[in-house]
Amino acid sequence: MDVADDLRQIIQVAKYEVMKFMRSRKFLIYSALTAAVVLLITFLPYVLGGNLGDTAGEAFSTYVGFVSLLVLLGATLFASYTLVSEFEERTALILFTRPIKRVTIFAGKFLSCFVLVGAIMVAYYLVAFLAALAATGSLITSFLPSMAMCLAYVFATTGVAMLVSSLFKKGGTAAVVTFLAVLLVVPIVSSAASGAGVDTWFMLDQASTAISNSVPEYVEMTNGVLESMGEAMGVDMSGMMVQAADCVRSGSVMVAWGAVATLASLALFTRREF
Amino acid sequence: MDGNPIEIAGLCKVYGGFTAVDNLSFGVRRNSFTGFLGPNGAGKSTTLKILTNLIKPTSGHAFLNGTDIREDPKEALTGVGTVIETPEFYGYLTPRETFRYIGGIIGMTNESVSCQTEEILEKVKMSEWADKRLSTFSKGMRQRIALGQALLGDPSIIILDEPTSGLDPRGMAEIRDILKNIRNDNGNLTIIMSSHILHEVEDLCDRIVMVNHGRLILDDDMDRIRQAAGVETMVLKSESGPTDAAIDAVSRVENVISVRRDGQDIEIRYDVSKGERSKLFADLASLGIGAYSLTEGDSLEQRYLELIRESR
Repeated sequence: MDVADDLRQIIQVAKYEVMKFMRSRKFLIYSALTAAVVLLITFLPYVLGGNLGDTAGEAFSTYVGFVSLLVLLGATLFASYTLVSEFEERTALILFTRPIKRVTIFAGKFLSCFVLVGAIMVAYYLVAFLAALAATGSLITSFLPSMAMCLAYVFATTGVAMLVSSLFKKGGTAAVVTFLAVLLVVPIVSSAASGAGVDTWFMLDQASTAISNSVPEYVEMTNGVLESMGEAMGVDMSGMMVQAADCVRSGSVMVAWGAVATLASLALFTRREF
Repeated sequence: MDGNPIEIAGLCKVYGGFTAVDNLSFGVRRNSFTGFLGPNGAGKSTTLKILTNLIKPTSGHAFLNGTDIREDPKEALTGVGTVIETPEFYGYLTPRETFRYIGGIIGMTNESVSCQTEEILEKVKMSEWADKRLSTFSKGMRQRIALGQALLGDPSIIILDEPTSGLDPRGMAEIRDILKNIRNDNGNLTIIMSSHILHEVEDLCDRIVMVNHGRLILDDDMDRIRQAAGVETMVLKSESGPTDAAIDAVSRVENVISVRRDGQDIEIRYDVSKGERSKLFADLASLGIGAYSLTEGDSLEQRYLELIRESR
């Protein structure tokens, strides 16, 4: 009975969080940016006299190259604000004093952020799939693995953003820290560890490359470009070549990052006092 | 638990080296409207925040309807409405949507929320604003909505932490009127309200709990506090005004302890334990100074100041 009531409350919190997000200016900005990316990728090549690609894979590859940035932007705009705003904007005084567990509030908020960014990304993939089909007349087969990797990345970045959100007093600070942590700090650590000879497969930035590297045509195209550059400059580019993704390993790494960050965030959130 | 719907037992809250609540124990009687008083930093808000699960006590217990808030906050807060300080709402929602959100959380059906929403918005005089976004509301309007959401689900306990704080005089009067109406409409409601505004507490409450330095210094009925005051301060208005002759005449009246000018009026300290107020007025009327009004001073304020002084 209690579990059923908790689940009902999670859905209630998630539903109203999504409603809040969808009426906010942030959502408008995020939707507009995503739409702009889609429109530019789809139509700009034709405006410039080219085409989207000769094969469905080629056409699709251009879209997947922007996925991780869009996901990070979504996590920054929604998940990094969701916990801290309850304290900053004093709405906790209404919500937290009700017969609802903190863990239930947390779960509802996590669910809303994941569902919102996840749904936008699924829509993005569908548009990419259809655009590739329309441009080349053929179906892309690596669509699902890449989308699964994308959703794993949504889970990971939502967890990280909520962890940052539970640490700070201001939503603006939490947003900046989330964005910079995932975009700069994690890759710097990866790069330093890699330079020291450590295999950085467990780092979030490395795992997230599976979003694009799970598309064989993307790997082929990227390596082709690198090879041509190497030949033109007379440099050996073999160290920079990308490899086809190990989706199980990369997906597991991203889910693990999400789970650890989410649990740490939950521990902080449930202990936080007003 | 002595059947008290709110029971505080040996409650302590320490922040770093500062003790905000120091072994505080008291009970709030069923169906009472209890004023929770104390100077700034006395521990009122901390106590109410512990009661509403916003902060955890260092030690001790706080029970709501017999359930320890620490042990089972969800169960303890069932059937409890709260307005802590000046809460904010989700600006993108309307009052109707906010009530539906809160109603859903406390387990109300959509039908019962819809039905109660109309009734409550009418009660807090916000019916015409039901579908406007909360971000456009003034502080006074938001506070009325805050009071409204506290009434959802017919709670048996309402916890109010300075509900009129920061409002203009009109806003304060509106909230006070709403609280009076809530009290009159439902006799089976236990309310605890912290406030700095003593005349507001005197007007609304039938019991007083007073704290200072996190410790209990008074827990009594309002009537007994009034009686216990012994000496009452009254304000006399007269045609002659506060002339030396009038002050001299008033000071000679039986059981008058002291007299002083108070602007255009005369302030009298009168020993109510020895003489009736009606006799005082009759004596003042016979002085020939044109006495036409005698108003009671604030007995709670006197008692409050005495107790705060003693507990320093």
